[in-house]
Amino acid sequence: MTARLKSINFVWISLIVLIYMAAAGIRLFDLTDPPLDFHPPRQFHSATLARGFYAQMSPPATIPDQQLAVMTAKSELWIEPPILEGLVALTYRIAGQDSLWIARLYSIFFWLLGGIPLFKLVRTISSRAGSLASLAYYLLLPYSVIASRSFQPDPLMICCTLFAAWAFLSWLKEPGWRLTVLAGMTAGLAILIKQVAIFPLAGFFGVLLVAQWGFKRSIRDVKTWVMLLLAITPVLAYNLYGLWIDGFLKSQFAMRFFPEMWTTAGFYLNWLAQINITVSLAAFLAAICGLVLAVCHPLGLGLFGWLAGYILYGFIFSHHIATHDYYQLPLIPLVALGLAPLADLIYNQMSSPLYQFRAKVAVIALFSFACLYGIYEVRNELKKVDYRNEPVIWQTLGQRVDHKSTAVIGLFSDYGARLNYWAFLVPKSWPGQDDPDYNTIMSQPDTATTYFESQTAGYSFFVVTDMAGLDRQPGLKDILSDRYPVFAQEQSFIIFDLRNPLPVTVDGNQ
Amino acid sequence: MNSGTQLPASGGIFRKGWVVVLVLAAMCAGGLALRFTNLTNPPLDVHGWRQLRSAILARDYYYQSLPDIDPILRQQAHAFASSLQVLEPPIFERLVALTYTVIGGEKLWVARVYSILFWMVGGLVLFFIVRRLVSVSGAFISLAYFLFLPFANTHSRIFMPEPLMILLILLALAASVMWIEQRNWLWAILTGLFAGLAILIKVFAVYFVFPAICSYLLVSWGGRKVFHNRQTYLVLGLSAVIPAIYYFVLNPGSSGNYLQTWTLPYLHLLLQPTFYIAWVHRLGGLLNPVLLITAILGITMLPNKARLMAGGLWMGYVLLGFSVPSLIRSHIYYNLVLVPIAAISLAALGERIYLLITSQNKFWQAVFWVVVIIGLGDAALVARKDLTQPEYHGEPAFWQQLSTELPADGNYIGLTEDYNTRLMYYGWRYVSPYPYSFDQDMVILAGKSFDVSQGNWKYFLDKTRNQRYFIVTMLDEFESQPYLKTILYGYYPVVVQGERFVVFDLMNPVNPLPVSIP
Repeated sequence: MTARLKSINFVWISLIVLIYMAAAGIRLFDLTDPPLDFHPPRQFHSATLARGFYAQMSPPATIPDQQLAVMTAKSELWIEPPILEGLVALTYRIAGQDSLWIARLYSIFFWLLGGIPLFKLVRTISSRAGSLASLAYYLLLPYSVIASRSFQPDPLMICCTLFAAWAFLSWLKEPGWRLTVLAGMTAGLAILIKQVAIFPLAGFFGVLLVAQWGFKRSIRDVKTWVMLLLAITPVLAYNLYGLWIDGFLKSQFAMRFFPEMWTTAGFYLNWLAQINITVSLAAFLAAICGLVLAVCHPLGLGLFGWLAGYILYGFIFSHHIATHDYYQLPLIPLVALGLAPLADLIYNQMSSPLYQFRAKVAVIALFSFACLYGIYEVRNELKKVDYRNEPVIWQTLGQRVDHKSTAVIGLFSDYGARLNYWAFLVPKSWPGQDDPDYNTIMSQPDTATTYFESQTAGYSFFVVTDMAGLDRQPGLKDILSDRYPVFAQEQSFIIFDLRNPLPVTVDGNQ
Repeated sequence: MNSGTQLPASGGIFRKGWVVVLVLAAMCAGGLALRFTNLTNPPLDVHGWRQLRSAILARDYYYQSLPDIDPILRQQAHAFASSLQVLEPPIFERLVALTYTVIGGEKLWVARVYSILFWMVGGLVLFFIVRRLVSVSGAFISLAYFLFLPFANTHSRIFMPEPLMILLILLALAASVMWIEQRNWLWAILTGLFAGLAILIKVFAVYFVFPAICSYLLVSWGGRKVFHNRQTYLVLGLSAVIPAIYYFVLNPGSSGNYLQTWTLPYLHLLLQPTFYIAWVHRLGGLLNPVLLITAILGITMLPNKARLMAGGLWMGYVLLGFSVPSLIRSHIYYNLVLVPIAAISLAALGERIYLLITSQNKFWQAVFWVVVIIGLGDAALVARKDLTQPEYHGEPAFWQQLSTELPADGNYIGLTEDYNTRLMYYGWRYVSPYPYSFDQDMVILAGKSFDVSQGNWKYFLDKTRNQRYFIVTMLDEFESQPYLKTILYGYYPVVVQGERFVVFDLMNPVNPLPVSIP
């Protein structure tokens, strides 16, 4: 290797290291803030499970509120197999404490790890410059930074998906048994961690396989079937157990499929809006153009399969795709890979000998500025709110109602996630808009009172943590404020005492 | 690609002339239809006070031209117009007033229609420029951005000088391209004329026409030829004399005031990194962050001469930001001129991608067109939402009704929407503006101090001197200016109030004031 080549390699490696350091640094910022910055209900679901596992692993009476921790964890219905939660619980056990930032560290680690297969993949369609731009997008996109700190299975799922895609692409080049098993297992792991990974992976594998080998050879090859078996057996086993043996998954498959949404314009607009929030619609569309430029490479075609899988997944989970930003996470690596050919285009233009040095400097400065700006935006976002006071508030609430879940009904923000986790309460939620006749019932004082009494019969406290929600329900607000004394109140909650209604005056007023 | 006199070739479907015409017509029809959405909505969606200011001026000119109008109304309209600070020459307002006369009524949507036409014609001129400097496909990419960017949609309907200024800047650039290529007197005159008019309409146009035309001229002709050519001096003379007559002869001193108010006190911001971050943040929100970065990168891919022209325009924009560091962030219409600049900058990169895609097979080309349709469709729908969502049709009636409920025996000062111009325009009632909390924020930004938590009696009494009533319709201002709430509710009686307004009597305090009235 010549000295010049060595020096070029050094520069590129330094840039990659720099991007990784920046990505890790910004993700570690505000590490110990409770995870309320991103989909709290989803994160607290995992946190409650992990704490429950930790409590179960620990010898009796060795950690505070051990029984309550086990009890609240048991109230959580499993969606995916709690692999990450188990791993976190194990780490809690080793660390001797259930600190939520441990889970954050795992998610960050998995996302950063996913950068390796992404870089390996992108190098097959792009020069170093394009690959660097792709990696920078994957690691420093503001949404990816925030989402990859969350205690959810998604960062691990994305990481495994990328490893599976890389292993599969390598297998296509050298279809030996070692890579067959590796591709099958990584895909199987990705799908097991979160079943929706099946969509991009099936699209990616399917399109690439047929395009490279043709349909006949693909289905005649034993390795294809072995890989398929490895990929789907774990998730099949989990579903068989969850649906037919234990039954805990039955509720998870209900209320997910809404084909009637397909015919509404709002569905598509909201979907596009979600894409815009997460990866930027302009970047998404540009990435598709980039992929069109890369279709001569196997990866380019495969990524169109990935895209097709994502679109199919969007139609199947039509409600979630149009309302949940983190359902777009599989798009981040796709867009990152699709932008690489476009970055190459600009870089190649700059590499022409006619090009002026200052223009190169300007482009590099712009790239650096974009990265720094993304980091700055995330820092501001994370710094904006400090949630460190939250645990005490909710613990106080739990103590005020003596941690008796059966005594509490209420109107909760975040589906009661904070209450559940910090106050060890699994209370009944006020039905509210879930009841189709709710508005009609609550519009009349007589029917509203009867309805309220029927719903709250046997409960001692009505807890409100969703203040805005209470303001939107004046009927409920009137009943509570007119008829029941405030048992305890803080900025974040009000507890009404249902056991001691206010005395009724002669004219019927409370 | 080149920037010579020969038109650059174009690939793909744009090789055929009829396709070019068809696509151009379709895009213009789409852009036009979008802008005509909710046309009669009162112009309160974007910088209401600035638009109503123009409306008040136009009404004054219109009433002056009506021989049979009630003289009291005419006098009142003129008094309102005279109370407004002189900014740019009211050419647009005069044009609108003339149109009121022709159509026989004061219809505010007339101004919208003019602005839309200015923008649409500007789009065609932009198309022409990019077609000559880059290619037809590049021109379509520029035009798509120019017509369908949501920010451009809402702000190309405003009763303000910006759309006309942008049209004239683009006309000056187009004329300069022709002049520099053909070196004839006609194009030289047109270049100077359009540049001069652009600067006349709004003086900030100077930041764009000069750097862009000079860069293009110098790189095309070379410095020696430029300075030895008499046409150069004609262009320079025309573009300088036209605005100079207004700004230095007819309205002297206005530029000095502007500098002292909006430039000099805020220059310290240029030394603060947060200023630049906030500026970029603002731009990202308006022009789409991905497309903005792409546009800046795209400059590097433009042909040499076009790159210099685009570079000149960007440089002009940066200079504008440096000249008005507070306004570039707070007044988003100051960034409207960046839309055509970014559009030009996107052309070459977009064209390169387009040409590469046309080398793929039909299927992948179809995928590309689906992407284009999704992008434009989404932008159009977002823009449409922005145009239909703020609904102001009920506002005129509210202000008219409010005006009838107000006592008529004294002067008013107050905090009502859009620096009281809604009450002035719709309610025919003059109310002196009391500073908003954000005005005080600007004062603080300019280096002066003001603490809303203090008593501020002297400040209050100074501002309300000779005023009989204090009206508030922006009740949230009380929360932002707690001293004001304390003073008004603590010392002055409420004479009339409604759900959205409260009027205090300043002449009959209910409690002795803690300070003497100066």
